[in-house]
Amino acid sequence: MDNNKMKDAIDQIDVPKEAVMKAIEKGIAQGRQATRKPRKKVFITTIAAASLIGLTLSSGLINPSMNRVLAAAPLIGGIYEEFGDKLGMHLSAQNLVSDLNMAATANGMTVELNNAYFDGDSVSVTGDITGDLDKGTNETGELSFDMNFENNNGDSDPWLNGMSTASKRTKSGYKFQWKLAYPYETIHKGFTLPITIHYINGIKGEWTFNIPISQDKIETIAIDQSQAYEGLQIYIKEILLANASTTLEFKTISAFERDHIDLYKAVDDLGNELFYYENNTTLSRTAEQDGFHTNLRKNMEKLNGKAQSITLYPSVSISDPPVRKLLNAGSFTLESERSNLGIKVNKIKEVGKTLLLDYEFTGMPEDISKNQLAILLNNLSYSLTLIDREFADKIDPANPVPPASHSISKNEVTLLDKETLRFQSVFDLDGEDHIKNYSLENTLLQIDFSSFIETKKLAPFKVTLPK
Amino acid sequence: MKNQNIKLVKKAINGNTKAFELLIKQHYEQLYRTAFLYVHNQEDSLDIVQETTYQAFKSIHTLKNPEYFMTWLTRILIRCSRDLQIKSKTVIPLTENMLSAVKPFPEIKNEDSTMLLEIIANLDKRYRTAIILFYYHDHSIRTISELMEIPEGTVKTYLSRGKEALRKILIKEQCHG
Repeated sequence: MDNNKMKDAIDQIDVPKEAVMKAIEKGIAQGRQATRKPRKKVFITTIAAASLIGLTLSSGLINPSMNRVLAAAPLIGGIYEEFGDKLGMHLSAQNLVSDLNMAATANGMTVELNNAYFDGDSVSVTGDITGDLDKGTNETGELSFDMNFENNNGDSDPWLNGMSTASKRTKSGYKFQWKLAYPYETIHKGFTLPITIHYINGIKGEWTFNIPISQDKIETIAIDQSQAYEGLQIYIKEILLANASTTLEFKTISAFERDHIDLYKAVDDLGNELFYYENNTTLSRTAEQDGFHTNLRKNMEKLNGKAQSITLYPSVSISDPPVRKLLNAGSFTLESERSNLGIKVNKIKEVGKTLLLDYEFTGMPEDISKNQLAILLNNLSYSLTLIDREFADKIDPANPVPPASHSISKNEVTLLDKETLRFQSVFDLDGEDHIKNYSLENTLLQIDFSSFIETKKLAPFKVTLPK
Repeated sequence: MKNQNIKLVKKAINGNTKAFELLIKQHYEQLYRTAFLYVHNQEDSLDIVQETTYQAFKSIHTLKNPEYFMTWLTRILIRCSRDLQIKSKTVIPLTENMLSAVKPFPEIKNEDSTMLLEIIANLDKRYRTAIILFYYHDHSIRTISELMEIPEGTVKTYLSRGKEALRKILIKEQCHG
C-alpha cells in the first residue's frame, strides 16, 4: 500500500484545534494536581526504562469519558473541573462535598475556605484569596503558601508530604485547591483539621482555621496475607472502600534501608487491572529486628463484587552505595557492591583545564541494544563524580549531594569502542562545577551504579478476598 | 528530532510546564488524528488527548532520552486509546453488514479516503496499531516492536496481515461499488 495515500486519508480527519488545545490544557492542569511528590533526579536503567513508561499507563481513577457525564455537574463541581480533579467532580455530582464558608483576614488579605471533601485517603479543600497580594515577593500569577496542619511545625508535617496546590487568578485574587493524602494508618470517618497559614506569597500573617472533614462511608476488607522473597517480605493488610475511591494498605520489610519495594500491578481473577504503577503514600517507616518496615497506601480501581482473589506483582529496586577511589591510583577498577557491574579505568590524563578518563564498563550483558547504549551513555554523564578528598566524608548518605566547589559531577561521555563498552569521560575542571585548589592526588573518582541496576520484577503472588 | 525540540524536551523533563505544553501542542494534530482512528468520534478523541497529556505530564521526568519523546508519547496515546475502548461500553463489535451502515467519517468528502479510514477503523486492533504506526507515524519495525512490546517478527506478521485485510476489503468494495 502507498504511504502517501494512507497519510492523505488520515490528514483529512478534521481537527477541532481549539477543543484539542483545551483538552491539552486540562490534561496539564490535571497533571499538576496529581504531582504529589517532590521531584528528584530519577535515572532509568535499561529494562526499567520500559517499565517506567508503565508509570504513564495507570489511568485516572475514573474513566476519561466521565468528563462528559460530569460536565453538567452543579456549580461546586465547576471548580473541580477547572482544576482537572475527577474525584472532586464525581463526589460533587453525588452531593458528597461539604460547605465550609469560613474566612480569616490578616495583613490586608482574606482567605476564604469554601468546600471540602474526604474520600478514602483523599482530602481536598477549596477556597479564595483576596487582598493586596502584589506586595508579596512572588511573581505575578504565582501563589504560594507557607502553612502547617494540626500542631505540626515546618517541614516535619506529614500532611505536607502528600500535598499539592492548584490555583487560578481571579479578578480580585486567586481561587485555589489544596489536595492532601491522609497520612495516618487508621482512617477515621470524620475529624477536625486545624490549618495555620503563616505566609502567603511571602507576606506574613496568621490565618487559622479548624475545618470539619468527614466521609459517610469507609469499609474495611481485611486481607492479612503475606509473601516472602529472598531478603524481603510483603504483607497485604487491607483494602478500604470509600464512596468513590478504593485504597490498598500494605507493608514491606527489607534488610536494606534504601531498597525500594513496590507493587507495580494488581489484577483480579476476573481480569480487571486494579492499578498499574500507582504512587504510594508512606504511612510510616521503622527499623525493627527483622528489618526495615515501611507501611504504604495506594489508590486502586473499585473492586468488583464478584472478584475472589487478586494477583499482585511486586518489584524491587535495590540501592547500591556509591564507590570511590583516588585518581592517582593509576589504572584501577571500581566495583558495585550489590551487582556485578564495574568500571575498569585504563587511563587518566589532564589536558589543559580538562581531565580525560578512559574506562571500560563491565558486567553488562553482551549485545546491548542501541537504546540501552544510549541510556548507558546518558546515565554515565551523571553517575561519575570527582570529589575533593578533604570533603568526601561531608556527604550525607541520606541526601547525597556532592559539596559545592569541591566536586564535579557533569562530564561529557563518548563511546570509544562498542564491543568492549569502552568510554571516555571529559570533566571540565574550570566550569561552573569545580574543585577549589584541584590536584589529581587529592581527587576521588566516585561512581554510583544504582542507575544501571535494573528494577527486578519478582514473581507475582495471589491473595484471596474474604467472602 | 530537531535540536531545538530536544532542548524543549529537556526543559520539559526538568519540570518546565510551559515547555511541556508547547511540545504537546506542536503535535496536536497527530495526537488527535491517531486517537480518532481508534474511537471514531470527537468527544472520545478529545478525552484521549486529555488523558494522554495528563499521563505524559505525570511521568515526563522519567523520560531519560529526549530523542525518544515522540515514541514515548505515542505509546501513551495508544495505551490511553486502548484503555478507553476497553472501558467504554459504546464499542460494538462490527459485522460486515454493519460496516456499510456505520459512517465514522461523515465529514470527509473524498470517497476513497473515507473508505480507507473506515477499513482501518475496523481492522483487528493489533493490525490496526501496527498499520497506523508504520504508515502514519513512519516508525521503523524495530520501534513498533518496542512500542507494542512484541517481537519484530510479530510486527511484520501484523503488518502483512493488516495490509492483506485492507487489500481484500478494498478489492471487494471496488467490485461491489
